[in-house]
Amino acid sequence: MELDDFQKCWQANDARLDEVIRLNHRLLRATELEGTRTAMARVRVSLGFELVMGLVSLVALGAFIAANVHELRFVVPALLLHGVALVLTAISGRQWLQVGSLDYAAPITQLQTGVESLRLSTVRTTQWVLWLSPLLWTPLLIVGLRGVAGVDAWRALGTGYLAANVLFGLVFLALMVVGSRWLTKRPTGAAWLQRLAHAVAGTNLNVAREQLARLAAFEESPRGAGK
Amino acid sequence: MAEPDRHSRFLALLEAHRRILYKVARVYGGPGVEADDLVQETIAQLWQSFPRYDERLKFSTWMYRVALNVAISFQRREGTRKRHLAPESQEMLEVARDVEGPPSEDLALLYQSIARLDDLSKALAMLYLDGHGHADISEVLGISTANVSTRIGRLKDRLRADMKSLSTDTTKET
Repeated sequence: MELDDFQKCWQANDARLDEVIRLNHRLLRATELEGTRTAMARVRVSLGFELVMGLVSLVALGAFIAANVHELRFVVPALLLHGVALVLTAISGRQWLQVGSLDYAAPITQLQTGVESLRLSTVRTTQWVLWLSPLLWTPLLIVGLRGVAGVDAWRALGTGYLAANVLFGLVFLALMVVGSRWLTKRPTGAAWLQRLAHAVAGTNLNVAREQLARLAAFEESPRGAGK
Repeated sequence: MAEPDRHSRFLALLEAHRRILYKVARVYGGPGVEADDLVQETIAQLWQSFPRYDERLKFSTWMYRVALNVAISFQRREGTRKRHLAPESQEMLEVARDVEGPPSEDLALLYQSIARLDDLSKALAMLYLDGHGHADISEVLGISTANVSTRIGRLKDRLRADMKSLSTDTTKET
């Protein structure tokens, strides 16, 4: 088959397609279309929810710090949580704005670079949240008990117990990282476990980076062009 | 533009270019990517982007941009979640069953050859086969016209080689 024949064959099929395909107008009523959320719109709603939750936690932690400002044993863990909440809220806000600025009518390389950068950012954030979770459990326990039930965890549970929790968190984190790397190399276990392992190990970071590199390479003229 | 007018105009343009929806879904659909879901997602995105449609751009060019962007993102999204705007038994794009199959062996081979390409080259192949000029293709893909020319040259070689090998395989099988 010769080159022009590719196009002739493809375009001849267009006329045929016009005859055999039709739109289902009943499903394309304005109300139906207005009620449909695209994938990115759903991502934006979810990021908006994260942003609101982040702001709520910032206000709550701020109030806690103000109420316990003279008690260092409560202020330090609360400040730690406040710092993490601040960073996560800022990231959610940035991602929320990023999703809103994505224009699907933009040139493909431009839009796909935006989508992939967003993916890279969300995968990286998820990985950090998973890594920090075992370490943040202890400060969360101290602040939560004090803030919700008025209980002083240092006295009720003892410094030794809290220190053991921090140590356990460190060991758990190390096991989690090693275990996730082991699991990602062996496609066994439930699908959710595999997804979690990939999120902890950060394998999806490499996938997103590779796609960004492919997009950049596609924008460049191939080597040896014109030879 | 008033809402009813906008909707009627959108439907008229979509109707006139419905084959783009079919072709993009056919090329990018496959294992893990339901063609019906892809069509629904594309139409939803087209409708959402339509208020910003720049009339200076040909509608087919604009529609290709949106449809290809949706298809590439859709294909890459992990664990594509099934989502139905319409009940599962109904489709937004209906194909007459008795004539759904490819009309010729050549076209079937061409679709198979395109399926072997990466997601960006698939877009280039579709635009080239549709007869878009290099400037148009450059606008849709966001690359220079010189880059388009080089890549089309390579694409032709690749398609020719792939179709030859696929054709040989088919002959051996028969």
